[in-house]
Amino acid sequence: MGLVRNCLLPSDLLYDVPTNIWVRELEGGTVEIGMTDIAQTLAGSIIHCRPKKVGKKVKKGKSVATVESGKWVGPVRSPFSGKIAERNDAVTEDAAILNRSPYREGWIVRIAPDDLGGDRKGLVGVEEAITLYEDYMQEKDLASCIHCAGFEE
Amino acid sequence: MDDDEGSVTIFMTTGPATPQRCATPFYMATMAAAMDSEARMVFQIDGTLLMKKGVAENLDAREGGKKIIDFIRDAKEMGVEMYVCSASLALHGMTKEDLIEECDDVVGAAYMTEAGLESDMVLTY
Repeated sequence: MGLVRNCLLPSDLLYDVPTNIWVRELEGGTVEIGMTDIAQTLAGSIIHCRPKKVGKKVKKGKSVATVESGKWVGPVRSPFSGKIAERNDAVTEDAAILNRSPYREGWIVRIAPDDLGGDRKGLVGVEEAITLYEDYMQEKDLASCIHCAGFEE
Repeated sequence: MDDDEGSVTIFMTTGPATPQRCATPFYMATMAAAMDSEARMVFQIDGTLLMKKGVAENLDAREGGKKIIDFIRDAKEMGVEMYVCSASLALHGMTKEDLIEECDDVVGAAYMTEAGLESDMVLTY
């Protein structure tokens, strides 16, 4: 497990640091994406998450879901072009899962990428992510990640 | 590729006299932009006063809440375009120099009509 300023970054994931997204490669060539610990901290208590519909085609960098907290609204941007293969209805029903379990129960969508290898080149592993997030958090004036009760690594 | 997320135009005609009406329109615009819709706001009549320097900085929809200028900045950060009606500038004795930097431009009635006609969704506050 990677750690930067009390923010957890699992070692088995890839990261898109500018959009604060993690990626887990699944068997069969699909990818699972979600918000990082840093993203859930910046958002605060998340009250709504609305992933787009299964079957929708998305372009790299475009929104696959919108997330709202009491103080923020923003997109979840896909690091891959492709088609939404599955969405996590649990986060629609209880968006606080994104605060409690950003890396496990809080996955948002699964995507069937058009070019897995090509788009993966834009992502970084945990070691590089730690270095990039150190600068990112300094820029955002974020001293530390905040974990709610029941937080799951 | 199905990447057309539509367009939204929000006409804002109410202003600082009714502060409780001044946060939601910016929030809706921000949400539309977050969903990758083309989002723009057009300020007319008293809405124009929200684009005047020094107004939104000192206004909140509920006492002690987030300042309207922060709603405006959130919307800009998400890519929302903001336009002010030229006639409403005159109505309030304002010039372009009175407008906050978040305002993209001053437009006329033809632009505003066209914006409404070509948008997938129009909201009026």
